Amino acid sequence: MRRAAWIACAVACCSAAPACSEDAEPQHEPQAGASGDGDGDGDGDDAQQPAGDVVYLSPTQHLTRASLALRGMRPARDELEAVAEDPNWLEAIVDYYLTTEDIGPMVRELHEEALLTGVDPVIYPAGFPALGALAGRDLQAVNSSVTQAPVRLIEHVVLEGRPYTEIVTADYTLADDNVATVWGLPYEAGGPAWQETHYPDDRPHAGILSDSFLFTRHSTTYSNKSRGRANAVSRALLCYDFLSREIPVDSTIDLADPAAVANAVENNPACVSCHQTLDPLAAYFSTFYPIYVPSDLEGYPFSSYEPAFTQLFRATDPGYFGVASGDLRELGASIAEDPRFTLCAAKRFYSYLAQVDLSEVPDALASELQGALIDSGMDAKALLKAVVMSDAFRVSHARHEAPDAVADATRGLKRIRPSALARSVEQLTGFRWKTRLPIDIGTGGQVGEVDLMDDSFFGFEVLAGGIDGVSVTRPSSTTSATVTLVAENLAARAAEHVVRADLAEPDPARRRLLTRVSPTTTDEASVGAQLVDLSLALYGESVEVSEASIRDALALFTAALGTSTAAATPRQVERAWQLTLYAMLQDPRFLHH
Amino acid sequence: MHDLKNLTRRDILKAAAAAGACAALPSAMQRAAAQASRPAAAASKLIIVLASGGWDQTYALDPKLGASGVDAPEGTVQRFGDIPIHVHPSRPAVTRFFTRFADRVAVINGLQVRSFVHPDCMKRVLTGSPSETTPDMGAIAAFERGRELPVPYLALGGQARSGPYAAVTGRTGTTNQIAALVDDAAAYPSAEGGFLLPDVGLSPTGGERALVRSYLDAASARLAATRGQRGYNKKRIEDFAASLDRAERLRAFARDNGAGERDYTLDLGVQIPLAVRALEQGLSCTALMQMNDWDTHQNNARQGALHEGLFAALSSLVETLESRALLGETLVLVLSEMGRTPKLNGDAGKDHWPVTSAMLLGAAVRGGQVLGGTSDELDALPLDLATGSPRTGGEQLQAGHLVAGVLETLGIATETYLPGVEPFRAFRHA
Repeated sequence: MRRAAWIACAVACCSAAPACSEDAEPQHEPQAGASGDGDGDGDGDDAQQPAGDVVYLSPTQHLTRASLALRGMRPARDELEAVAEDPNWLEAIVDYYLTTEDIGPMVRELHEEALLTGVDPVIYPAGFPALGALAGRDLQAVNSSVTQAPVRLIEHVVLEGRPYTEIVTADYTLADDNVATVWGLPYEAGGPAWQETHYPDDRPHAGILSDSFLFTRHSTTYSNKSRGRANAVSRALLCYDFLSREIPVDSTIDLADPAAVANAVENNPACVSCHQTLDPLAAYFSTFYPIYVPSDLEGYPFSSYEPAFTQLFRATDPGYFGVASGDLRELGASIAEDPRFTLCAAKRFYSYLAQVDLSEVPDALASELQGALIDSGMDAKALLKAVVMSDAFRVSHARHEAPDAVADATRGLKRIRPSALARSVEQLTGFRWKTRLPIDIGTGGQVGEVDLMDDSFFGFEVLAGGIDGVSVTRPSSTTSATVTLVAENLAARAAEHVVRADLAEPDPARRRLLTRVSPTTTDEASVGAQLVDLSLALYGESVEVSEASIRDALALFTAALGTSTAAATPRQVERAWQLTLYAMLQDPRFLHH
Repeated sequence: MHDLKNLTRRDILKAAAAAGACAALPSAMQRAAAQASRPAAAASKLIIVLASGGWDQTYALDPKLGASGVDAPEGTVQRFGDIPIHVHPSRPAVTRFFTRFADRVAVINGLQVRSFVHPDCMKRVLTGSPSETTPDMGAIAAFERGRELPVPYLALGGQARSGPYAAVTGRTGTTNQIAALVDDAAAYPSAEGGFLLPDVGLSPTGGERALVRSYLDAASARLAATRGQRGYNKKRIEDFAASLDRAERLRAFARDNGAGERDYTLDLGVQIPLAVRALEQGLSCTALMQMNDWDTHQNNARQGALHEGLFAALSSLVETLESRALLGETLVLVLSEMGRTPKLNGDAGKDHWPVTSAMLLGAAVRGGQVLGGTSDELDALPLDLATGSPRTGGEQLQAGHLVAGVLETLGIATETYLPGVEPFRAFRHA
């Protein structure tokens, strides 16, 4: 079924798919020689590639990287086999991925990293208590919904194929039942879980710029005059961070004196250089409730839009980088027309997918990707495709000791993100690491079910290298002690789970991973064949049983039996497979791509 | 298989040699560091104690009795040598701490944070910078001073900002959930399997772990040979391999010393012994401890009990460091990301204030002195950065000055991380 799906996609996209166009030159030119050796062994043999600073991934490795980056999952076996046979299938499969909802979590996470809205659900700046109309609901579920609302809107725009600019111009918002209850939005029971709706107050709708949680996460004070909000929006959508500007700060200004500050931002040249653009931008957001205090909440809906506060929480009239304008709708239109918006999107998409710091995305590449977005009519999927099909994305490793600038620009090896680790383990083993916490942390109601790989208050997202949107705002792309511990603990549970389930299932076709062995199978040929299969499923590598990696896994299996293969009991076989998979799920090839 | 119980002499020598050689590693940051002149180190270890939420400095470090612009707590001002401290019989631990240790403590008042928002203030006091991307001083110190240790930067609270130095950071998590990774008894129950039994999965034996470790070492070596022979990839695979060791040592450390409860306590009573033993045993060279719940928008009187708890813990910390002969090489920085407003609000609480205090003790610290100051309205007084004395027309002491001063004390070239920021040196011996 799946194969049929992406083949159909390739046919449907025929005009753009070189594989089905007789006279088309393969766009993925290096597949014929300049990329990896195509033998699927994962070594990207240098001798098979033309001279240059970098060695590219083989087509199957490239597919694996694209799949993990876009979907957080590994490619299916038939997809790997197709690309191994004909590298031109790669583009069609990527096109297929982009038609599925599997890319939704990635789109959300990418934008959560930009907007810093992916905060831990049960605590401030989320932590909406389960009282009033929410009484009886689980805190984790309620607050996960609330924090996701802005990125759900973005996901909606991207999956529906609407112009990406709609994230700041949409004349609607998106809500599920929890979000609708918290903010008092119309919600159609029986409709889609997340549906388009509208704020019933007078606020102009401008995509995420009208979102209540965005400006709950980014609060303000009387003195701050919504400047923090403006910078959050500018940083996320324009890649322009006022706080990163290197300007001489006049430290004789007493910031504890509001009058001195007000005077300085209007007259002191060191201050004016930023504030003349920051303060008008901030003024757009002065109508949102300044600081939400969970303990002050007595019920829902919570009014997050307070036009009466406008003059209190702004320093000047609204304006967009020197151009006077009116409300949030006009702000959204200004951002959508600003070339920095598309350039920033190009940088952020590449930065996220290729795990390169935003500041290190090469200008020429960013410009090229920006062009892909604009030329497609602002289709974010076209940008996603342009990123994962770019040469920079498919670098395996440097060929020589390259200058740092080149090495930084290419950065071959990617460590799997916590979200992708959780999804790929679930995809392969059926195991998702969750717990249920029937505890009240003082805000009423129980915490409820927690996805331990998608939470940092109780769970392990930050320990695995992810962010919490407040204390940790940049993901880690390398391995630390806690990353290793998380991976190991996840592997221990997933391996135990899938082996027990597979070996209890008499029909091999219904098993997830162990399709070639039974609880009594110990002969080397069968075990070796199973390990070869596992190598393809877990690493995307098609190898012979004589390969060193398979021999090592076989040796581990045999040693784990703890007895001669002939005398092994079913329980010992099960344990040996659990231990073998436990190791294979921690293999650096599984944790990197 | 590595010895899980103890660091061997060979391990320690290896780590020390590697740490000594780290300046030769190729990276832009390191080259920049090499270009800058490296100051002499007066301390080799760093402990940061963070009162998270914003303390009311008038409860101890910055007494304001009689100041018309400040709602000061009840109590008296007692001088401990040259250090005036606000004391009250309900807070004997504060009095006890300064009675014993005032001659080793440098108090800093009038530290300008330049923000009112918790995350922004936290970022500024820990990194010395308004930028989102600058690592905090603990991460920098760990990277520069001990990057080959098992867990160079032990982050016992949630506020560590390791940025590009994530590989050297061992986070325990906001609710100390690392305990669930290293101690089967602390593991979470399965979502499906009932509420009581921890779900530990495979739970391999020591022998099985040894088998798996051999497999992973071989896999790592193969990947290094094919894709990791140089540059960025090489570093990634080295980090992977090193983290296998680090994780084992962290697990062993937790087994021998306890990992603490998996609970939202952020209890200094749990954190102090863990941090000191980590420093003593060569697990770490920097540690961040964190005590929460200082954000007293309501009932500011809770600051009394919080100060009592903090200073009781600090006495324990200093005593423990002293008993382990670590105080002479460890710089201890106690701070809060913000202060609290001079006046009480309608809820008998106090709100956010961009001026705070800090305290330093231990290695290189010239004790018995107060640096900087605040007005009767709790505004920061400008000071002479060189001497730390308030001076009309002087500069406002900012977090960047303090962070740079701390890094310099640890022998780190501050220009690499905080270019153009003058280190605050007045707390040190000449």
